[in-house]
Amino acid sequence: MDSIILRLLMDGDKYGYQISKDIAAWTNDAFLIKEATLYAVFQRLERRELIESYQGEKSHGGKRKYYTITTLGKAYFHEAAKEWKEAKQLIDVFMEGV
Amino acid sequence: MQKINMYVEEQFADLPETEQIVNLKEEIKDSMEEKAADFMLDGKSEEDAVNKAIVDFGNLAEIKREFQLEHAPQKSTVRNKKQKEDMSTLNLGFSICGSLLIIGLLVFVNMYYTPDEIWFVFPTFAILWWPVSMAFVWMKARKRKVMQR
Repeated sequence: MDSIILRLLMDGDKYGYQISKDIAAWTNDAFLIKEATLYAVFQRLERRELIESYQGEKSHGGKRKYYTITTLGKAYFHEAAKEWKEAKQLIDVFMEGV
Repeated sequence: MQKINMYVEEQFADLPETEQIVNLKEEIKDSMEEKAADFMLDGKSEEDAVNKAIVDFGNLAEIKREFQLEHAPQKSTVRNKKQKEDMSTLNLGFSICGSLLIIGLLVFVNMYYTPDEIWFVFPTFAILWWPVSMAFVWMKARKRKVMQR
């Protein structure tokens, strides 16, 4: 979950609702994330300093809070991606031919 | 849209009204309102859209839990540990100064009244346990500090 959000933020700064729409779009609505989960993850990532937030400009009515990935976040993402590939290879070895 | 406002305020009623909470509530409301607006574009009535936006958002308790983790317990434990570390250095300094003063007094009394008999070494050994024990506490605290980094 954390990695998915970091991945989306690698493409540029986004606000919360935009990320939930992006996840739905990327997966053709197969994976609909609850915003509550999303904001909980934001809190967690921000606490670990993997993402940062700032107030963006106004869009119909209120200020919007944008999230941006930090250098630490990028490093963390690359590490996570590497680990995932290794895990995937390992599982493939055992699952092939079943 | 009033309903979203009321719902979020009600859910967060048990948390203190800090700046961060206010920002968080604002963000959640914005997100719900935008979602409801999207549903309305799809042809839903306002009431339906608002209800669906709230339900789809999911359980706010999840966010609250993360938020409480972030603020209440962490801060206090960090502060407590810091205080302990500061105390160990202070304790060590105090024990060294204190034992030097006592040993100095013993040497003076020894030399002034009974210069023929050197007895101050014996109580000095006993007093030295004080700074030695404090030095070990200090080293332990420093090791913990390094490991935390």
